[in-house]
Amino acid sequence: MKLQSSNKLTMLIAFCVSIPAVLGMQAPIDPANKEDHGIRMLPESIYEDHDKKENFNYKVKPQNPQPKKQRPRDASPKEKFSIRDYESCDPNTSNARFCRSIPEERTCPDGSAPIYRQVLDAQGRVVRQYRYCPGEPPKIELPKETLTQEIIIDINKFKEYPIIPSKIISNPTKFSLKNGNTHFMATEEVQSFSSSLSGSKIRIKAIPIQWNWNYGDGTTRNLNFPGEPAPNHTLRDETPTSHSYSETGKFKVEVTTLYRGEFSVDGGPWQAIPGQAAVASTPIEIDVWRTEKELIAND
Amino acid sequence: MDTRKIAVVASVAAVALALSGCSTGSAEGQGNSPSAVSKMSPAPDSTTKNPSPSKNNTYRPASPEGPAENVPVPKLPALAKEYSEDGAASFSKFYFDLVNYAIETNNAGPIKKVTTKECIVCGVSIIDEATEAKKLGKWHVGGKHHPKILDSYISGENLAVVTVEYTADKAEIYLVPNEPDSKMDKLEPTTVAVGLEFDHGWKVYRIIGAE
Repeated sequence: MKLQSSNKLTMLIAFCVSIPAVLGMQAPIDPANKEDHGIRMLPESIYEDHDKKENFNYKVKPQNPQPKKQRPRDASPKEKFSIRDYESCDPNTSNARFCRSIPEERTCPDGSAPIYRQVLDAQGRVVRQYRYCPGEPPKIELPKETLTQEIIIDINKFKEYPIIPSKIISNPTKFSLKNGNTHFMATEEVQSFSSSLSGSKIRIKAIPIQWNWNYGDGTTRNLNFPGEPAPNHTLRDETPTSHSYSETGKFKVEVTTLYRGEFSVDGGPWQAIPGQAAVASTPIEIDVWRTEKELIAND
Repeated sequence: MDTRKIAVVASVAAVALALSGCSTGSAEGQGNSPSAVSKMSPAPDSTTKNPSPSKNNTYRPASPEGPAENVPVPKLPALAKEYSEDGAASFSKFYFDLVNYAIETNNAGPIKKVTTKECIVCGVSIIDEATEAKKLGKWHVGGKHHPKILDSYISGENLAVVTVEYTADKAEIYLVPNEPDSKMDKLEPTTVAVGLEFDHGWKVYRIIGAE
């Protein structure tokens, strides 16, 4: 019986792939999952199916699938863990103890840096790591009694404090002209709070470190300074924080201030809290007009 | 289909396989030949297409023509021998130098010496892959890892945890000159926690990704 040529081709390809397996050779690619692999550090490889790697030197014991929201491994209730939060930091603005490189990872939806929470066993060996954004609940729930040390203040606790947002000041105040340099600045205020936790007195500091602007015309800008008053400013003058609208219209200008936190227990040394609290300010509206003539300086 | 026909098609396929190397990678003559990124300046004769080994010991990066040659073994920096946060950080950077060395040479010997059997990720994604590539005679062009140390701390007695963010260049893997066999895309910034233990020197016992 004659096979159609396309059927032949399909079969040829199918055998081309299966024959090596039959002959005991290792096919360079497993067509079933179409995964190209090579020498590359891939932390996810720990969760892959290891059956096809029997020829290798490392006898991999099948990992117990680790369900989330449970303890890191089959631990007896006596097993203790500790938690360490680390934030992806910018050495220019961060006070973090060890911050040498600016990470490239995407920021969280609120504009702050994602936090890595590392879970260590009682000896100090790292067991799990996960990434979360401020405001998100923890992915791994560790019952309090398994923690060697209570988390005093983490980013989510820090965000619960009533941190006051910056105020936006613009010059001119409510209107501007197309292609003019509208000056904006935000207020900058370190804020202090105190509370008690488990019988200890805790002091908190919220320090603004970044101002993320949204000018309402599709442009945004992140600055690590708030801007300064510019009393003699005119629309002809650019300032480090001014913005120029290329279209007329009403624009809603917003700024989100990122605050980093520090805490001190019972008058002890200040400790940094990994992460930033993003606090949004009340927007202002700028009404941009056009002028047929050239910009006229305010005499 | 009866067994005889299967046998016929199978033998035809086996011959075809032997002849063509059964390459299912992208077609020949790709537009972009990936650059084998290297810290060292390329040897003067590296631009020639001559695939035979250089007579002197100059380094030559990998190309579609053939694997890298005379790749120097990374040297352990003095700081990386220290039991300290900075020492652990320096060692972690060095560990990635060994990863890059394994990619260029398929030689997992150096990295094995500083990895414990407990590190599954090290074993599966680096050491075993390099061993397999060596066995099959495959070589990588590209794929270099670029690590950034974000954090380092001593987590317990003789233990450290270093957080590393790294990217990896795209790579093409060759079995036969000028015929890419498979490829790996560029790896976007990935953050891992590297667990290190210290016993007259650092060793990696675990690499964990972020969930």
